[in-house]
Amino acid sequence: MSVKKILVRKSTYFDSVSLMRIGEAVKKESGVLNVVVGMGTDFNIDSLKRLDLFAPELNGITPNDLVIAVLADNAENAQKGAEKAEKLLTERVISKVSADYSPPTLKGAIELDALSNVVLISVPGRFAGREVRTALENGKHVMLFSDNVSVEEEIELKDEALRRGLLMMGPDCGTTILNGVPLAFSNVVRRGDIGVVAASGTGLQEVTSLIHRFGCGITQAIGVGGRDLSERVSGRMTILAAKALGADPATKVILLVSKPPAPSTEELLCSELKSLDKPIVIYFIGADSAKIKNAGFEPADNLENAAAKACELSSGTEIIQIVSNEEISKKAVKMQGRFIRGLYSGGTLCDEMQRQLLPLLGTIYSNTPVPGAKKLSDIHRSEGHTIIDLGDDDFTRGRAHPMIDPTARIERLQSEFADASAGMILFDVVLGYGSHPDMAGAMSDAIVKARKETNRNPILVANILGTDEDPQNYGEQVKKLSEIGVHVFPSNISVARFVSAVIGGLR
Amino acid sequence: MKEASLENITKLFNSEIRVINLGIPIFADELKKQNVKVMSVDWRPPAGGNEKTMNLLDRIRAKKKV
Repeated sequence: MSVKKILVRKSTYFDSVSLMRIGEAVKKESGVLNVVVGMGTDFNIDSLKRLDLFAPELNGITPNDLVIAVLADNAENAQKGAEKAEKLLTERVISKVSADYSPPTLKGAIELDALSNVVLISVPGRFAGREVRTALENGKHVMLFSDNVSVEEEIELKDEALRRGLLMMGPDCGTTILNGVPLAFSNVVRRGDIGVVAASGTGLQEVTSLIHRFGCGITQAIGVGGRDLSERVSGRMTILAAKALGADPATKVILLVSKPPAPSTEELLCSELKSLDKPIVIYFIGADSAKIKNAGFEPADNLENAAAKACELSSGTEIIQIVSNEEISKKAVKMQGRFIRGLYSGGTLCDEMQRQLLPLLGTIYSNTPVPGAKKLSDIHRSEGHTIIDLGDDDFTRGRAHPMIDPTARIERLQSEFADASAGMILFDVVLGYGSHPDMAGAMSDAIVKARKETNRNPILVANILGTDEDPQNYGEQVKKLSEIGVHVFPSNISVARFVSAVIGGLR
Repeated sequence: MKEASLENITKLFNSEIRVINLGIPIFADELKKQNVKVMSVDWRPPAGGNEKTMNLLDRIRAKKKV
């Protein structure tokens, strides 16, 4: 019979990535069946309940308390697992102390390095605003990775940044490349003359990686946070960043990527950007391209096409689709099982895939449904054609993002394999700094295990997003998935075309 | 709101990037690997995570500035 061991450390804070790594290490201990090492957030409490790791002593814990919960095959192994977690937590504290001096406050860090120019903030959302204010008051640009920041606070922080002529990239901004330096989740992209602004993290990663693949390069790639073009935030940072690129002599072409803006924001954006004396390519995912063209800009149809159009304007040469329709049609295979399941770590890739496949599939369920798709009644269970974003707040509250931690996606992959109606599974592998060092390897191991356990073999399709200069080794990542029979493509739209070829024949 | 000045951003585009990292340590580790100058803050929730006390401290801080 399995035995639980629960420890609570009141008012003890560790970041989600350190806790994830400690959890992974404890899981490898002998006899340990499941582990949760995390802060007492609602999401983690739900996970504890789902994994049968909840106990009465956890009633009344808060997000400021640390929980170690170990399920093992006997009491001795549960105790050993919990002790291992405590030992690793102590080591983490010691390694922090022995590393270079880290001041306890942002103010202290600014005093120590007055020449710093960017503050990268990823503390829990409810504490983020005060840190952003401190950074801006001290003349520093901000990249705000934290989510769970209210729209009211976002507007207040962006207005403060505008008053000071500073960038406030975020909240929920995971990707930015400044002067060739990739911050948070970003790829190693060649320097060039295309400046990018995006209200979409993986959208920015996909277009910059494809610009690199097409042989061109970027000046800056500025993330502004997913809500920047909403009605209320009204493009505050997009307009500022685009104007800065407009004034930058090194930037020849500007590329904007976002979900469709609110109509009032679109109008404002068009009137503000018209005065810029540079070609502007715009990809508003799912928006009416005729409207963009009429406003005097160059519309794009998908992320790959957006990168291609920017490269054509930059290089003056024609860029062709990376994988031709003929090639894709040749790879199409027969699907066993009725439904498609998409397990995405990139929100924009999930969004674009839903929009691409909706006309073909009719009904799609998601935790983040695009217009016309349906909301899943239980985000932890797929129904019909389901395409989910595992990087959305619903899945990440109190735990590391799926680009760093493959656990949540692997659990979901196992359930999809166990469902006989799942005929094809799509997923993304996002390379670059910040991401898991070997996501293709982690997914490959999970696929091999799931095939063995379920004796099922749904079609597997992956988009590997990244460049040949990323730290993970692009070629190796492709090989790890290809050699176990996963259909690997270099862009999200190629995956969508492959699905079309399998389901209905590609035009 | 009056037109924002582009001076600070133009300056950033022409400067060496130096980062202060607050939160997830992996982001600082990745920058160090690329020889980017980065300083990590040993961040803890202020006032032990008690939001009431934290807001009170912020109000005191704001008053001090006036």
